[in-house]
Amino acid sequence: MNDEKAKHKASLEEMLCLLEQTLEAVRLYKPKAPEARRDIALRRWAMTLGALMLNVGRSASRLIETDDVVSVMILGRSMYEYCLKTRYFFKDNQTRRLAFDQFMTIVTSFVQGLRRLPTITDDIDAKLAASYDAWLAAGGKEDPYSGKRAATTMALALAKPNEILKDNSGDSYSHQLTTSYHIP
Amino acid sequence: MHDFDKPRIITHIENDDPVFVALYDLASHAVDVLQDLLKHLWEGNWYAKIEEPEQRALFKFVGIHGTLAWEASAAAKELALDGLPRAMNILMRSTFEYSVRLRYLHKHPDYARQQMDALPAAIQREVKSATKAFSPETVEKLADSYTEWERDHPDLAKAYKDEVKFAPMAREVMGEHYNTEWWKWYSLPSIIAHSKPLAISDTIQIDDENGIVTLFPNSRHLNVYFELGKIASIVTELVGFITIQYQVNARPYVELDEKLGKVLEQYGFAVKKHRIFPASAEPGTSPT
Repeated sequence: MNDEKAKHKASLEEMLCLLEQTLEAVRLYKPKAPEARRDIALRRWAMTLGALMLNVGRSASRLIETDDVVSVMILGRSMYEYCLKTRYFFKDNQTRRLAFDQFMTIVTSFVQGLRRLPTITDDIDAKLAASYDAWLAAGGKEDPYSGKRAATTMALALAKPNEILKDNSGDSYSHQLTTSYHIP
Repeated sequence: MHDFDKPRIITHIENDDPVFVALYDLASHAVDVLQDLLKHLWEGNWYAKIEEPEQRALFKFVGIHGTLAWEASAAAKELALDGLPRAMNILMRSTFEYSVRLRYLHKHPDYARQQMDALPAAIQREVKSATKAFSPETVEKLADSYTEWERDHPDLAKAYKDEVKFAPMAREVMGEHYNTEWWKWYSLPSIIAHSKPLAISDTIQIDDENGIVTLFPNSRHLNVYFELGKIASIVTELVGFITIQYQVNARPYVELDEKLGKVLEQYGFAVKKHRIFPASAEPGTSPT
């Protein structure tokens, strides 16, 4: 590995170590008073997005050693999306609500996805239907796309005004979104 | 054009579990056969022998998608050594995408030619949306050359905008296999690649009784065995497809396919040998 590559790898590893420590602190966090469901959901999102970032980041770091540029770029795109989503969810009250709405689609997506498979038997289907009904009764969302926002929407909402540009068709974009998400 | 011979194996990592060894060896074999096949085609002066513009475009797409599939699957198999199935899963999703696109293009040679000929439009689209990534002189030069190209090829410039979406492509080339395989190869990996809500169940487990949160940094549901089996399956089918299309020596493919059947029957508890794409011996589709 040449010096420049070693430097990039070391810097990535350093950030991943910090992320790991942060994740552990979030995992061990004990609220002093009972929390709102929305806050619990947000913390679970933070742990999930952090764990994905850590895991996929370590994989990218490993592939830097073998010069797998294309694969590092593919994984980097997912890492950008994890980061984007975390920052967006914590942005304001409205986006926190969206995070909760998305959280409340977990069982919906799972059940709807499985029920589409031709290999599902009547018996399994009945069990899935029962768990889906119970989920809806507990406040689960019927629409699996509830609260979902496109990467472009999230990136533009987080960009500073001077970072938002317009292309010839009048569509907005940012330099970071294009280079980190669209081109890969 | 290709860097097929760069060293890939990192020798300081070991895993002597017999199931891992068998599946890793199978995946490596598949990746090596694909590499040899691409080298054979690319170094064999094949391109010069092709006269029809559609076939030339298709050959270039074999180079592009074949190489990308090879790179992603070679990287994914290396990650198995470190026990990193999530990233393997993301990379195999990309490999699936390359396989689908290559098959679709071979079913629609006119479209393949159109897309290849419209490459200046593709470049211009990226340049336009990332102008800061290039020097102002480069942006201006590319814009000038694009304007000239667009004036000479108005139909191609328009055709590029009518790009076919990925899901309909997959539906067409997968036929009835779409119903079972799409979920495994694309929907499921998208949960991790795009951090969809179901990813929460892959990363954390909550014990509601005592509030203990368990984190799964390396995935709760995915495993390297399953992903190695996927590498072997999709790369073998890709090798078969290219072998039939270009009528090259079929022995490496046949041997690989036999090995795939044997190993998955013995060790592929989660990945049984079954086809992702429909089988056919006709050029223009995948092989038997």
